Amino acid sequence: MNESLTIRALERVMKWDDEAIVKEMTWLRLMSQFKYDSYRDYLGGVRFSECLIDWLQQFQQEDRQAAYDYIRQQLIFISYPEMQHLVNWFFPACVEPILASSVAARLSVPQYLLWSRETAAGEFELALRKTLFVGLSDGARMDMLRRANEKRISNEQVLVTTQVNESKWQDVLKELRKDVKDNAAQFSRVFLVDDFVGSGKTLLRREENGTWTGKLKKFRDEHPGIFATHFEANWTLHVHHYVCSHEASERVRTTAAEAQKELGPGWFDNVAFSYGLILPESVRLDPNRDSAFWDGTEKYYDAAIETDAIRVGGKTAKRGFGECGLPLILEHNTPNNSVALLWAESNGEKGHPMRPLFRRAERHW
Amino acid sequence: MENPFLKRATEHLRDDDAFLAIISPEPLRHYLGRTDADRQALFDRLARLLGQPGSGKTTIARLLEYSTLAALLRKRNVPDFRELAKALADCQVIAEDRPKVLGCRLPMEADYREFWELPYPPELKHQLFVAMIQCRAVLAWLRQLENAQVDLTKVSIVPKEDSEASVGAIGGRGAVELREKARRVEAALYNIGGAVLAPSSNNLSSDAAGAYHPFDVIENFVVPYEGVEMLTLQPLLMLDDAHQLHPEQYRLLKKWLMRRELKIGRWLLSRLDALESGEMLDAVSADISEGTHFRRFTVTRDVTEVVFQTGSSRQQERRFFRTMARDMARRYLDRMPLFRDVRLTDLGTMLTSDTPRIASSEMKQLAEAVDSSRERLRIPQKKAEELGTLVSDYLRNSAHEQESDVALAMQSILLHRFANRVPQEALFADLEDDLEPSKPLAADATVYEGARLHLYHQFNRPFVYGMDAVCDAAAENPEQFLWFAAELVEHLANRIQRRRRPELSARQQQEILHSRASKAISDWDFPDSPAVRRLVQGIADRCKKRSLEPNAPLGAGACAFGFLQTEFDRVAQSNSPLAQVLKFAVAYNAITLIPNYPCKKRTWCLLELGGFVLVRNGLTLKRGGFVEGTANELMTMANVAREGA
Amino acid sequence: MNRWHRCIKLEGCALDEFLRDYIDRRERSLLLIAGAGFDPRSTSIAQRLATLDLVKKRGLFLREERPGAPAKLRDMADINAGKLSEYITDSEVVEIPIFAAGNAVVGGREVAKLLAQQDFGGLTDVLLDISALSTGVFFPAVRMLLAEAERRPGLNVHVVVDEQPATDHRIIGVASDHATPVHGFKGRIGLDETGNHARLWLPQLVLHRRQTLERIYGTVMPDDVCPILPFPCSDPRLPDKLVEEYRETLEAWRVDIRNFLYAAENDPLDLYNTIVRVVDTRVRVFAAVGGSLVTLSPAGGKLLSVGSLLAALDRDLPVMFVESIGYEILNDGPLLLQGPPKIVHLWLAGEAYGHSEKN
Repeated sequence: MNESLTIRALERVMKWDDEAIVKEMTWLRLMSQFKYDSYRDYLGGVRFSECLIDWLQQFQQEDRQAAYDYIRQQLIFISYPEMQHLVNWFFPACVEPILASSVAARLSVPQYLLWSRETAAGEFELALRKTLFVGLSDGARMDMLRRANEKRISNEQVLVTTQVNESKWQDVLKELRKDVKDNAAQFSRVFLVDDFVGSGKTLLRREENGTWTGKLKKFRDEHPGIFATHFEANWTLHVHHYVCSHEASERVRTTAAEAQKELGPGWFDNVAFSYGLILPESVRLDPNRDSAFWDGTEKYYDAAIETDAIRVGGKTAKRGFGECGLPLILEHNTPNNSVALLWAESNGEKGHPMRPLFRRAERHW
Repeated sequence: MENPFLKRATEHLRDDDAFLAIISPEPLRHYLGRTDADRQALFDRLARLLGQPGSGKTTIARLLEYSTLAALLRKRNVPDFRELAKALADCQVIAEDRPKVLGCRLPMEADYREFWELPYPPELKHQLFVAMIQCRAVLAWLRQLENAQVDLTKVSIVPKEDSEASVGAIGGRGAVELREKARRVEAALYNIGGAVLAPSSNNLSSDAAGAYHPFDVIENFVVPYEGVEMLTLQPLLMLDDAHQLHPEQYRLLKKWLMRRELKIGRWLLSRLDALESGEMLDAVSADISEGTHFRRFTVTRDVTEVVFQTGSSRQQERRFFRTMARDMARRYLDRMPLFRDVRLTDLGTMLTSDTPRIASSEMKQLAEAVDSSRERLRIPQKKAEELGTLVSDYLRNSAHEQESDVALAMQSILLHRFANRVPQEALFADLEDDLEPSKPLAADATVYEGARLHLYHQFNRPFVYGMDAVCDAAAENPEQFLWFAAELVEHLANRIQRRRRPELSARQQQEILHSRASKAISDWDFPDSPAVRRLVQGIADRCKKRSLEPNAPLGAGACAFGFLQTEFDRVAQSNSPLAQVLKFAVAYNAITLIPNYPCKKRTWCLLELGGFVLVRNGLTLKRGGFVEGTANELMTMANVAREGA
Repeated sequence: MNRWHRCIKLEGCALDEFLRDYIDRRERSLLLIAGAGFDPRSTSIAQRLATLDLVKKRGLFLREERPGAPAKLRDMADINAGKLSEYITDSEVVEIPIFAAGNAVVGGREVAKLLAQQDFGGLTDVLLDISALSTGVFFPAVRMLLAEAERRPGLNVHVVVDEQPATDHRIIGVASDHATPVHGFKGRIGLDETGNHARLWLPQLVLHRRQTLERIYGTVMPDDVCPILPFPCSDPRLPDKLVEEYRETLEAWRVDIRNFLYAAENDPLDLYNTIVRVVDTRVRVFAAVGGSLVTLSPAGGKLLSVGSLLAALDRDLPVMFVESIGYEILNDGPLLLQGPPKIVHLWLAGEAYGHSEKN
């Protein structure tokens, strides 16, 4: 950033005194460099401080401080290295213990004595090979996942997307059987991986008319045949998100249980959910504690941003999809569960022309 | 935007060139002796350099390391470095543009202290300890040469007369053999100290426990210089932070290094822990009227002592520090393009000393208060006018006549003094054994200062501002100066970027210095720091109360706590919690100790508050006034257990 | 290969099962080494073990002595020492002075001496409860115990801790004023031969410990610094808060923004793996130019510092720290456990890894 320009602009926009300018400039310089300037959408010359100044100007003078304070005190930005750490941590913290537990059960040995058994290492390798890793969206970072585990996981057991055609499915099975030297081998578990779940609705939900839909349902219905041919009888589906909201961590489990009850054989027999980072409940925008900015979300809103996709989450999107009210920015994109003022861009058709701070790129389902 | 003032410890500047650029030659001239004989005494016998953290001793030690000297000499014609080279030449460290000494610095870290915890008899512990010092010194000298690109295969020692026979035991005359032997000895000793369980004393290797005495053998090093000639260098060893050693270990070390037969230069650098028995009182000032504070430079037969922070209030000392601080600031600002490019490298000119005045409504309030005081104290109008004239005369003569607000405050003080009829130089202002003033009342500099202090606390009229005040607040400690300056510079930089005038008003300076002082105090993180914080706050509160009495009995006010010297001696000898707290308070510049201060026929020990505390609490930076109390009161303030409780 | 890349870590139900099925047997004999201090977590594990009837239990309780400890803390320690002796009746309480004259750090040396005198004959398991032991004491204790396990194959070495971050935050160590290597963990730092090695320092950033870390920096004088930030962690903004608190310091250390390392707040094995990966890469890269020396400085939660401990043991790394000269408890009020014990167990050596007298 050009410091002199930024200082002068902030002075004009925020009407701060000398003391405040020095203090806030220090913070701005630091956080831009540490995190915010690396936001994928930013281009050279127009990064965080420039966008911040632009963003603040959409508010009337008396509302600007509250908006700035929200960014200053509550924004959660998960940077590239942090995300990379979540990806790298997934295998040792999540996959390994699950596989170890399963192998220990097979060998009828307590998990804590697994590695004292000579055959354990071999059994573990086998169980690992029979595991499939599938990305639920771009956010799953399957490329990063592969690189982090290149000595452990073969390329043939990683699918970058669920949208895979029949012949690819056949390949995957063929490679498995070749590697384990068993013509009847099948996969024993699948890890579906994605970056973020905010309300859980996109993942799985029952519509008003009683039909079930969502990414998990789609996975189930895409190639129904493969579950019998490619997977062992008692196979388990694991769904892992690197980041999840507190709300989702609870709701997803109960929703899946309901789906199981209702859909029976049309669903998965064994499903388990895991998360890297679970955001605490307190990060959600609160109308009492954060009243000043809450009022801002009410006042500075354009209903034109409510697309069909957004309306799935509920009547309004002032606090983001499903009224999740999150202050969350991911380095490569901003989830629409975050407060709309952070990401929405509109021309004021049905209200206030919203300017984004971290503009959101729409993702494909 | 990098702010070099933030790199507080110059150790951070690893690059020789960057380091040299910010080093002021003033400290060398001032600290390392005024006469040739004095300076010589730094190299021909044991020298002790004593000072608090941030006082500059480590900086000097780093400067005297061979690789730094060599780097400087290579650039000696660059204007920035010429002065420094000259100062070093004056100190006899350089002669004819060539180094004269081969200096190395060894920090006395845990590595050394831990020898004293080994399960061996003291003689063996001492032997292992000095063996470690010697092998590390040899390795450090050689490493210094290597860092200066000297080819070690061409380096050799000149043994002392009569010690040819011992050369073999230390490896040989050549640097390469010396290094090999030193490394073996080091590794053996290192493994003893580093083992989780120490080996038994009869299981020590010959490398560790065998005879190894390079200091008794080496007189000089002969070193190739610039590929052209061979130089004979006196080795100089600087042991830094020697206070970290066990007291017995230190005593034996000092004794061992004092031996006049050693030819190497050897310096012990340490913190000034005032309660170490006897040590502190070795250096006594002859100037009794100011109490005991340290003489800068003392030479005795066996030891030369240099004290960095003398605690003296003499104008001379203050003036010197101000010069050094200005020079330092200039060098630092020169490294910031924002300032350098617009040629703004004199910090002093950017800190305005324009006298700020209180608002007119406040003036009115003040004038009314003075009037009502006069009435309440039943002082005749004529007398009040006389006092008023005294004040205006003083202000005119001291070029402060614009300060009508101070004039009013001074009048108020004089009115109250008149009412008390107390002579102004008595320090026990509330003793009324004298109803007639023995001297007529006067309006002078102390009343002026007292008035300014009153106005600060009453109306927030800026009190500490201007370059000189910042220097005084730093109390002769370069690091403290940089701490204050860093924030001032940050604000100035900001203003330059906003195209505002590059200066800070008195009020802005006051606020910045106040918040910076507060931060420094809340950042204190050393043993007993919470107790020290409580202690200095307790003293500050007392001082403030006293200073704000309407008759300003102590003139400029109090900035110290005094208790009887006999009480202090008792505390110092005990091992009480208070003794511990005072020790750390002194060690970390929270207070300065001024013992044996004579006043009104008694002898006091003064605990003078450090610069940060004074600025944070709005107390005078001018030394002298103190409140009196007892050791028990100090204990209460610090909230430590009483003796015998 | 990393020694602990498959380290057994147990908590919750899995831990209960382990204690019930593996430990609580007549043929087993267990020594519990724990801290008898003011920390309310001192007794959690002893209390848990007291419910086991079959295994033979012995206790060695260490009382860390620091000069000038306030009466309040001493009283709390007395009470806990008493409780410990009730839970494990066959036990002794031993005082471990942490400092000698002039604030020299000797706690580690003292505990090593003490353990050298212990009789491990007949024991099947040693449990080191670090909940109320400080870094300077439990690091060398682990080293001693692992050495003992080398001499006696079949001896299991376990580290356990009652992990309570809320309690951790209330107990603030008052730092002494110099940095030292943890006893037994000098690595090869300070030796002339490592003088030219590329020095990398990995300090763990923790709130309110800035001066301490600056002190360590002044002693280590690294060429490069890679600060460790906790992530993921319970407060997702904590890394940002840390960077803000350390801003001036990071500038002074010339830390490149890209140099931060991340480690999950409550997963010591994550930290262990991260450190080892960095070390191994550095060794390769710097082999040709004189060598590499990586120094660790653990700080913050006990559990996470075990990660540094394992890395230091596995790769012989120096560990630099500043010993606490005393402790302060924030927010007046009794220091009570904030909730039920949350015991985490790490199995460091023994049968779990294929060493057993029976095998």
